[in-house]
Amino acid sequence: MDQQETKNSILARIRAGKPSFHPLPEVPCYGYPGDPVANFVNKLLEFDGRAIKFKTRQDAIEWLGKQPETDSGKKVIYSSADGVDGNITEDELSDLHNAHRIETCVTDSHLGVGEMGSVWVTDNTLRHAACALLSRRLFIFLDSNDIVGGLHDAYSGIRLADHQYGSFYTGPSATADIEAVHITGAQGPLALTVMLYNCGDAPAEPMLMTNPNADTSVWQ
Amino acid sequence: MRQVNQVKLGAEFIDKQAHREMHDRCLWAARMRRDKVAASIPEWEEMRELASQIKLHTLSQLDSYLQQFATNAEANGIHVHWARDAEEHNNIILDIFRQHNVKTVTKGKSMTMDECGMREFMGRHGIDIYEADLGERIQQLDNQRPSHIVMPAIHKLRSDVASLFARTLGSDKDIDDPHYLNSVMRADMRKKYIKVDAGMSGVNFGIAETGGIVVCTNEGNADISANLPPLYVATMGLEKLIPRQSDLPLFIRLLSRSALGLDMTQYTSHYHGPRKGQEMHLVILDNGRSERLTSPDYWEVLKCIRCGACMNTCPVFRRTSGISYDAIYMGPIGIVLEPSYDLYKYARLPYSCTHCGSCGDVCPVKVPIPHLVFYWRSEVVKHGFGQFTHNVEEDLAEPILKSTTNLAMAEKMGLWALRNIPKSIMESPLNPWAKEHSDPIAPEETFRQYYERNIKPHKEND
Repeated sequence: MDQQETKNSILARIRAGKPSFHPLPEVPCYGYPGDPVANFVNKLLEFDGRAIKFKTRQDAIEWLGKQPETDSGKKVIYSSADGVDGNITEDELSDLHNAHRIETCVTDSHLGVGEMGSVWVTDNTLRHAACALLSRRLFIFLDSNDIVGGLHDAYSGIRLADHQYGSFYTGPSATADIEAVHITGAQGPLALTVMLYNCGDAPAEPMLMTNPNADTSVWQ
Repeated sequence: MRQVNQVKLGAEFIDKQAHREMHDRCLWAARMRRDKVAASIPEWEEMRELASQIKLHTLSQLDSYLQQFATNAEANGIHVHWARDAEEHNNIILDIFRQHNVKTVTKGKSMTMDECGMREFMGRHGIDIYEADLGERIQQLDNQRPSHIVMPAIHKLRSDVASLFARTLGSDKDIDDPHYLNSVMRADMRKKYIKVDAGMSGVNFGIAETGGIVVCTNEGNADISANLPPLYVATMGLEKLIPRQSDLPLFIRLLSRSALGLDMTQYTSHYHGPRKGQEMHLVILDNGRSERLTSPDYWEVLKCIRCGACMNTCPVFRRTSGISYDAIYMGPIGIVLEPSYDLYKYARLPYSCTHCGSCGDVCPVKVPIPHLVFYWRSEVVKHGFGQFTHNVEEDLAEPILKSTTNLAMAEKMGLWALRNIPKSIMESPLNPWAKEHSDPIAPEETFRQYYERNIKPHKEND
């Protein structure tokens, strides 16, 4: 039977037997209490992500340049962020399978969620989502002014249909499938660092904030 | 065909003390986290009610929402397919795979594909599907079904996984550190990700207004499967729709908090079309759902968003594990879903319930599971599939529960029996209720007598 016929037969069955009309309620745009940036950092750390605050984006770029993860002599780096160069070429990425060689991925987010410590990334900001997903260390720039309080606020500020791929990343990839033991670095990145800029309260010396109880197993 | 005997299979799990204790501990911890995180959100109960109402609304207009969704999804460049049953579902995907000469696939978790026996079907046609979720992969390597919707291998000890991986993936059998086992799995999957011809996943939500799908995972396995290969195929049960983008945050706020007590899944991903150079297919599956929609007593089961909260809280499930249900869907939602697929085979499942009602209390979309248990018990007896005790229970319960006078009399008789029948008889091996239980101490009076004396007079004064 062809697809149109199958579709029609399913829809006809539903039409014939569906329950009587139930009204659609309005969903309030629930906020989330507290300071969005403080909440963001706390939640991100709870999810084993790392956060670091800077006065300017330039400060963040300079700090990132000094990290061993971005040593372009030693590491394969992919960057879709302005002002940061990668060393894997678009040509190499015409076969996306090369993305598995990427050690470090650097990208931008333009939306953070205080309620969960999530960052919104899209096919626009990532260019190749596979690079972020297969990298071992993911670094994301986020303007602290782009952090909203709750998840409802976040969804009201984006148009999902504009993005082939859009995702809220909340900490590095994780699993608890064996005896519910929490493990970071399941299939995706082992570490996620959010570099917050335009932070009025950024310390003079950049200070990486981590969860003291984060998973630091030698097997990573 | 034989009936699934959950009591017998459950007893086998109960006998494995280390497994049972670990299982109970892990699931109860998830339940406790869920309570804590729910209590931190003042509007939690209001959100459950709203989520329920939105689902009821969507189901009551499902034909038009499905059309809207399909039209928008196609406009986004997604190839939309329709399948009335598992066979059609599997054949549609097989055709797609043949057109693309697909031999190997990585796949994110999908209860809906499990329901279709999709992986086994593809295996028979020479296509290898690799489960990419750690728990699901463990179960695949062990030739066993998932035992939990979101924690597929939670009934296994780390030592079980260590010996399984040693046997199947060549890991060191003496190292049972879950971190090591995860790294073994990660390394093995990486080799697969970079060579497979297609990726697959299930769908958590379909948004009618935007024609996109939402897939939630913690590992990122579904994201890799969707974003790396040149072909991505997803399956969605037709009840997974929500009307609008603005409804989505409500459900996302409830989902992972209910499932694991975590604020969010690590990857909450939205797909509105294929990426450049990729082909994306979506199969919308009926497989009995439109039939369930026609039953006024049963249609609310379609609200389920597959979070697993009912399993974590269920006293039967926690002690007997999902394996003992010998079904695709397990635990409280399983015992009310499976009979709709095969009433005879799963006729005993609705009796694996203590009527504590906890599943209904934690369900984020208020599926009335406790009521559905009674619905199925009466269906089982009506169709003559009940065990002797089930039929007696039904025969006795109806006249007693239908009449206040009869119920009051039954209460008095129960109290009399408790006081006067010797323990040697009440707790004899012939009474299954006495197994691992002793009789309660007989109270001074029945609850009704207590109520009429102490509470009712005050109520009347109010």
